[in-house]
Amino acid sequence: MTGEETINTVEIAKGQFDEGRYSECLTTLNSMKTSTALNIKQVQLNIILCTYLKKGSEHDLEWLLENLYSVEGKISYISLLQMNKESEEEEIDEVEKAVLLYNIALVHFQTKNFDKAVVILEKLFKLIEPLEEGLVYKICFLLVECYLSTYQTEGAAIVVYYLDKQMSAKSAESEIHKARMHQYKTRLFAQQKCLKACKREIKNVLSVSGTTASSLFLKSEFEYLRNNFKKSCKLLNSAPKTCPSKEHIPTLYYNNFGCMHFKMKKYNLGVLYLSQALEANTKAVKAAPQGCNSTMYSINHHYQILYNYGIVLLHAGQPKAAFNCLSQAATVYSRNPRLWLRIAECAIGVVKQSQEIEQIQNCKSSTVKAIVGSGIYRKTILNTNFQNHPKKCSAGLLSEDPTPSLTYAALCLNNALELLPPSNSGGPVNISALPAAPLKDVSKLRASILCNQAYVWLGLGDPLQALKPAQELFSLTSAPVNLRLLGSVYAAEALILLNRNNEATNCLAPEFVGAIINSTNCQNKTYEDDASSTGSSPIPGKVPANQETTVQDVHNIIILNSVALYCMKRDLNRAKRILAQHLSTLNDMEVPAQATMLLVYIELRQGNTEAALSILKQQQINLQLPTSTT
Amino acid sequence: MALSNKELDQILHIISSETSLSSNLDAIALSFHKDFNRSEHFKVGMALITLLQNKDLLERPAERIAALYLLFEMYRSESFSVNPFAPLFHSLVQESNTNSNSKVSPEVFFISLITSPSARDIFKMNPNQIIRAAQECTTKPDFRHLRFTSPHNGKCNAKITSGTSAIIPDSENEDKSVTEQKDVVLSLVSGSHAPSLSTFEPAFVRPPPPLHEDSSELLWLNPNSCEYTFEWEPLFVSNNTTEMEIRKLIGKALKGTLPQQQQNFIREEINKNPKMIYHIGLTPSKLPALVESNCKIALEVLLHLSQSNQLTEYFTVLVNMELSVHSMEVMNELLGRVVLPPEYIHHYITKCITHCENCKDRLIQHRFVRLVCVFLSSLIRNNIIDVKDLFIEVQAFCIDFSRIREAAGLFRLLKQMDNGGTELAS
Repeated sequence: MTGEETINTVEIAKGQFDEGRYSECLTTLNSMKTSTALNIKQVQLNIILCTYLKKGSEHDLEWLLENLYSVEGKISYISLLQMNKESEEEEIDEVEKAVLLYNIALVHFQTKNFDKAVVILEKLFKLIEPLEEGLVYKICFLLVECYLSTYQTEGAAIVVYYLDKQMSAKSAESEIHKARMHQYKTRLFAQQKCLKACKREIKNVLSVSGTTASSLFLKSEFEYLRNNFKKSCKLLNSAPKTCPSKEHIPTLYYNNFGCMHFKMKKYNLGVLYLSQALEANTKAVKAAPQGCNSTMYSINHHYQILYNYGIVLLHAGQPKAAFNCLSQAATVYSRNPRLWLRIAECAIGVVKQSQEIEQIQNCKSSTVKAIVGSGIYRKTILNTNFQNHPKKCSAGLLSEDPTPSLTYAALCLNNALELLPPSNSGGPVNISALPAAPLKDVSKLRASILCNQAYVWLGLGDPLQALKPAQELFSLTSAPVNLRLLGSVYAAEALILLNRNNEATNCLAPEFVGAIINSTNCQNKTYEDDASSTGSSPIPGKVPANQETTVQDVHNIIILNSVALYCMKRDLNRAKRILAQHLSTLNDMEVPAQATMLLVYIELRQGNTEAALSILKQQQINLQLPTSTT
Repeated sequence: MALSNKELDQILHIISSETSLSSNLDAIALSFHKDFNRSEHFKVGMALITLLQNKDLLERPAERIAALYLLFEMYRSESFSVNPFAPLFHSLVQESNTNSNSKVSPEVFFISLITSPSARDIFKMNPNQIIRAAQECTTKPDFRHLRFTSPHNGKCNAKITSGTSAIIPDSENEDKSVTEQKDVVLSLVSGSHAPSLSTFEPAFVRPPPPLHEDSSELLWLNPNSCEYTFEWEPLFVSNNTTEMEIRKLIGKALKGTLPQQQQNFIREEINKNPKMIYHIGLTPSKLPALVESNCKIALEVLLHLSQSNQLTEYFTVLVNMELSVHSMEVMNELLGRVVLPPEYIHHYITKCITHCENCKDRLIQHRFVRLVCVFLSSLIRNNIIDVKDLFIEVQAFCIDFSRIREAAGLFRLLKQMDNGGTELAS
């Protein structure tokens, strides 16, 4: 082939590539392999691309990545990272390899390895000057996309600013990119919570690209962020069911409805929508055209939906199913501390549920277990399993199997805590919580983790391990009040088990508890301020879900537990006095079983068997449960 | 942990049959050890405690003495304080202390006997004889020799030691029947959840933690309208080979001066295809080497880079590199053809002056002063710098080195310019 001929063939091949005729292009490229006027490596790269892109290709993205890396021999992801340090010898010429690097970054992006893609693209962004304009735009767009996908708003803002500047300089050519830019900006402003700017950009999106699925979804998300569920819902319903990028709209539609119902605290509906989203996603992935691996990857939202689904299942009272979903999601999002907390909550929920079932089977919900015999020999047998504590399991070796047990929960909670910054590192920090937005309020998350840790270690029969998180929790001034009070409940129990009764008494003392309740009055106020500054209005007329433990609930338990503690310390008179005072504030129907059992205990200890029996009988009548006779 | 029907029969026979009650304690112990091995002692003891706690189930005083004796006998080889049933003895003694009745109960009497270190012959008595002895006794027994370990001092925590029996006597009338009694006993001490084994503790509640609250936890999904496509690797034909050659030559140029012919070739090619300068592997860090060995090529490259915003990077390197004839020559040429930010120029001039002042070798210093003077004169004549900005600094430099001809020349030039300026101003 002469030089002239080669130039022509190259142009033909390029044309075929641009028009998507990859098989033909492949033939053309193969004919050029022998040309001495060409760099064979560059030809090889295009051959790899076409082999991957051609119709009916049996290769997947992994194959593509492997081959792209292997062309240069020396290039690997590791060596890419080392490019940051300037090495004098054999410095890889990034400019020459810009196209290759971009293509590698794109594969990483499509396989959702955003971090790797970002590293490469950031490198390219630094030496963008000499590159061809078309490639410059491609690099910038992909970088913005990666930043937005990982909530790196600062990085995204820099690139968007750069693009704006570039485009204003060359206004004529950049018209085609305008719609794209408005979309990026909308997403950026939404992530930065600049709702005013976001609203303005949405208008631009709608005026430039019209009512496409993506623009309506963006607007719907905007309303969702402001808790305008009615509007959000309406917009989703009005969106077209197809999208030029081949995204499967029904999958996204169901997912977003799941999100909306979760925020409205309608968990069962949320579960329904998300299970439909999962199903739709599976179908869409199966139906993706053969040999269209990029499409299949990009439309597959399996793990993201699984993550959403698990969280909603947990709230809907299905911890077992939630556990399965979230453990799978954790294989992808293992750096998310909140996800580890959720898995622990699932495990605790599963253990709790199995105990409740056991209790119902053994008829342990009442205070009396059985009445035995007749005549002078008749005996009332008390239900001593009333306390419904998890069964003590040995806290020996922690099992790494993802089975919903307390030992596994302990492991998950350790992971969660490890991923948080040390508690004394001041200042606001953004902790990545992929796939969702970064964590803003780390202290609240820390409080929840500590709370669960103390509970789990008590359940595992290790009061020493339980004491530390419990004490840390009640002294954590930034934590919600109810959690701080729970901290003192757990700490007291741990201290009793450690035979440190006086310290336990202090944890339940009215002055101590009162200080926690009062100190956090102002705290609640700041939470409200937070909510108003982010523009989200509280949902009116929402009753707290039954999983919530209010401050009053915990306070009542603290009083009764302090009565129990005085009983243990044989201070029966004091116990009785506190108990009587507390009972006078409740009406008969509200008296918890714990209070009844404590009263019975005190009477029995004081030798008043008759009084104890009459309390039990009264309570049975109140419960309107028939007493079983064996 | 609970007794079987057969085991219950065996133990009831030992403590309540007439033959037992008329045989001495040693004999009772013997038949007990025949029927039960050591590992079964505790569960038998738990059953006996339940019987002792419910008087209606073990009524006859002699039976109760036998039962108490077995509880003692089981752990006789060890110190009494480690006997797990010691609390029962303790509570019986306490009960009798609070009782105002002056009469000593046979059980307390018996406890005082068996726990006293001196009593030996008691084990030769049978339960009935012990009861008779108790009835004859009129002095309150003395328990001072006996150290009951108080639950509060022990290793056990208060929660465990505060437990009490879960069985509450709840008689409805005075009806008695032997078979009924046996049935009740059986249901209390047998089965996997035998009530005799459970203790009733003060209820301490451990509420489970509420679910963590976070309203921004879920992930909203939007369809991606932007497509990202693979990029074609540009294929460079033939001129590509030129580029390769240039690359090689530049590599050589960093190490030594190239022949004039090759220098010209590089400069021509760069002029033909300026974008090439980005592809020839010349990074800012390599610039000083190129300036030293081939300053003409360096100048050519820098001139083409002047369109790019990467220039500042190269320029920073140039301004900060070691002062030399070559770098000053490049600087001089460059300033004549490209407009650079004045702060760079000032920085460079200041650097030149300090370099001259700090030079230790007089000969070299002499040479540099002359170079700097020529350089400055050229800048001033070509109006590249404004003299006013540097007047004092340059004037001081000229006075310092006034012995050198070029410095004197520069000084005259300065004066001239200054006068010209004032003349114009007036």
